Amino acid sequence: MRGGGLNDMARATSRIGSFLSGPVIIILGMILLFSLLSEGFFSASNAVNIIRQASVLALVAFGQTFVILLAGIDLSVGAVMGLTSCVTAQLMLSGQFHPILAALCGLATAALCGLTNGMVHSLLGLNPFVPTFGMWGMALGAALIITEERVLTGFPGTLRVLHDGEFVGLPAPLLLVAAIFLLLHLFLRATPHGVATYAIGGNEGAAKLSGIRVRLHKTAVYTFSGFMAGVAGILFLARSNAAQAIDTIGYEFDSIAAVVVGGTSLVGGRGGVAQTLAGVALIATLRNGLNMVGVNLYLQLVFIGLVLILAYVSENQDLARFLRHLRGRPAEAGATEA
Amino acid sequence: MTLPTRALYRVAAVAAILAVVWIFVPRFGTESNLINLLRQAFLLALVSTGVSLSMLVAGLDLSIGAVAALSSCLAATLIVQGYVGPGILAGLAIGALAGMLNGIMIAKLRLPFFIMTFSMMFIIRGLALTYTQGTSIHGFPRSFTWLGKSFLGPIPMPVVVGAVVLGLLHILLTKTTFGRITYAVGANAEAARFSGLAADRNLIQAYALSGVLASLSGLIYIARLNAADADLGMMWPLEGIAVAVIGGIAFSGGVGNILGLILGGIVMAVVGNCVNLLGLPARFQDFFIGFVIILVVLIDHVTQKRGKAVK
Repeated sequence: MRGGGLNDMARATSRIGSFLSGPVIIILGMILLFSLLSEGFFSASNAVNIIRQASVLALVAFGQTFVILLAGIDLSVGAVMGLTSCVTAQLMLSGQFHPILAALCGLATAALCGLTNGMVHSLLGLNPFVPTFGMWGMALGAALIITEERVLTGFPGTLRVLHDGEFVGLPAPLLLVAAIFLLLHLFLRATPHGVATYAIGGNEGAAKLSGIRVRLHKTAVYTFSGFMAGVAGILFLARSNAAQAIDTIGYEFDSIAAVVVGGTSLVGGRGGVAQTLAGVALIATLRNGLNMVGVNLYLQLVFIGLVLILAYVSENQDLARFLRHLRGRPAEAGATEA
Repeated sequence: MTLPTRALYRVAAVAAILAVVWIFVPRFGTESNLINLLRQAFLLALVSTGVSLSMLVAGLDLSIGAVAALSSCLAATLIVQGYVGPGILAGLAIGALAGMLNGIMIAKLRLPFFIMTFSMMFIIRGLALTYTQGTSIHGFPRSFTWLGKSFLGPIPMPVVVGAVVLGLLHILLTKTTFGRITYAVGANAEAARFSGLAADRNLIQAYALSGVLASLSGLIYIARLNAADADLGMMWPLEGIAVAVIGGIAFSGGVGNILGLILGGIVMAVVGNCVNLLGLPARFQDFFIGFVIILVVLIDHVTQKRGKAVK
């Protein structure tokens, strides 16, 4: 500390600077705005509400983050979430499975879906859109078939503690998300496997040449994404206390949006779960705030779209370049991001 | 491997599927069923044209369903009052406008297509719902509903419209400068830019056209349903992707023939049709479609690999 005060300060400022990325600034701005416009928004109970609402999206988006870091995409997660909750609910209803065992079976199903995605993608070399989109159809179909298109209810409420429970005064979903977040963050930063994820996403050929077992790694990541969709599906089941195949459709695009708005690049190799957490918080705060302020349900959709664009622009576009474009100067040579 | 040979594989595969189904599924070959099937196939192909164009330029237009909903609801207001022509034109213009906005943001401001079209999906759907307040608009004059309901000889009008649109698109993509630039931009936007092609303008045109095609599909749907509401086309992006993928349009851009959408539409329609005819509940449909998508692309992938020299 001694003698290095200025340096320390500069470092601290730059750290704050990097922390204050586009999404975080927008979240802070929204909190300010919504607090002024609505009385109930800035309160502990509403914060808990937002966390409960965001937890499912956070979990599925964590898995999606890994896939996108590999420059891949997983379109199956929404359907896999539905399948997981339907399998779990159906097994609980059968009466022969303890709820925890049923949940484990659901998770195994989800991981199996992910494993299939990963194997078809990495072993056969198909563009990940195709196997994961095919899996979307098959998982949704399987869920519809086993539930016979009904809403499953009336099973024991054992799992509800995951969503409604509290531990040392903190909501259970917060603890669940925080624990998984820390694990994944450390995994990406501090283990060779985490580094390999970035390496493959940055340059697959180079990663292969430097001895990373790319196919195995990819398969593992898609399996993990399926598994996380499963965890999110269980939490969704715990929240709604009912299971329906189509309830979670839409999470595939929501999760991709959360990941990308947070600042993880679809081109691969750049980003992380911390960024995803910011993206999820942004979407959840926005949805909750619009509700609290009493914006018309239909107009909310318009606002969500606008803020998503704004958040991405604030994060990734140099304002000067933005204005230059508006004035119609020719584009700089830079790839149109995939 | 040249494209025609690969296309031939695809046609042969679909013909084989049709033959098997024709033999084993009762009542499949009846005239009324085949006409139904054809109508369904061309409607699906039409819905998929917008997504396919954006896929050709290495993007993806997730807003097509919402654009179809907004433009057809606004058009419906005019059409119900008897202004059929102006209504249709207004609908198409709104599609062009929404698509152009997508294109400008993607080409000029370098927003990832995913963020742009996904956000656009929310914005446009929200506007459509705000406009209709959740109610539906119905009671169109005959001069409009013939677009969806009438027949030309034995052929349903949506099939005629679909065939004309696909034919025109095919000519546009294979015989014009626009088409060549589209494939070049899809294969490698950077290379296209450096070789002096107007890549940005092409992207904007492609997305604008995607919007127009979405509106057109929307108009034909509401003419067929004789009602317009803001919920139209919720699943269109996903259905459109399925048809395009089966039809041989590559996600990576720059590869695929728009006429392949007819095959994609036929396969999707046959799956739905068979599930129906075999007396299975509709819920089996999604499962089989997912399976067929992977299967078709896999077959294509394998035949493609065999045709190429080993890298």
